[in-house]
Amino acid sequence: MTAPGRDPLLSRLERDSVIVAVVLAVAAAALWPDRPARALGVLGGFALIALSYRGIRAGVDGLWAGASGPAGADGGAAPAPVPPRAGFVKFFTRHAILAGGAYVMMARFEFDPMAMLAGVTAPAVAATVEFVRTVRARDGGPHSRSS
Amino acid sequence: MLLVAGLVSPVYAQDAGATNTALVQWSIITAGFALAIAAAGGALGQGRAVSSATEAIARNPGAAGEIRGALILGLVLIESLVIYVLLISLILFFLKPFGG
Repeated sequence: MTAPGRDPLLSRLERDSVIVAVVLAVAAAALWPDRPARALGVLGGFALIALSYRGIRAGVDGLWAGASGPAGADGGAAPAPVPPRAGFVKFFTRHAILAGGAYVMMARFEFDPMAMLAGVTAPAVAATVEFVRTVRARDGGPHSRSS
Repeated sequence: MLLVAGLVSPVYAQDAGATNTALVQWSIITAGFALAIAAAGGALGQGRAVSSATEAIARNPGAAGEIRGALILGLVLIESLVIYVLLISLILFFLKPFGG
């Protein structure tokens, strides 16, 4: 999930998601030292959402590469150097990969299911943090709290 | 009274077993429907997001980079909801929290 980001928003979200997942895993390991399946479950859930993110990003980049021609020709961020066909394969097969991965983690490795749910939550928490950061930056101007 | 209670208790046990089996069956059926509804809702939401993003880029190609970032973020957040349901369905399918 930490591919070199060209979009600063996505780069911050990736970084924050990793931080949130690591903090949650460390907290789980500290709170339940005799149950490592919980900390591993957090990391497993985060791995699932990271796989999904990579698939979505590859699909969108493939769409962009097909739609906007050469990299950066649209004046926006340059699309990732992903071949469109491989990106679409990742995009359309991600649910099967996710289901297989979740099954292996849950039924074979016996990761804690609730911890996996917590790990999946990491990008949503990161998005919330980013939202709060944006609101604070917007309200932190010299004329924002005049009263 | 105790004798009657002792005779009746196996019947209660059988009822509990039948209820447990029915609960497991219904939980699996519910998991299947939940997964189907989540997939359908997620697909609709992601389709709307992609549609809106492509329309916005067609109107304002200069903002394509920002729209792309917002699109990926939105798709990931929609996807995370689908993954929640996937995990809960897998819990109901394989871990069987209601017994069985």
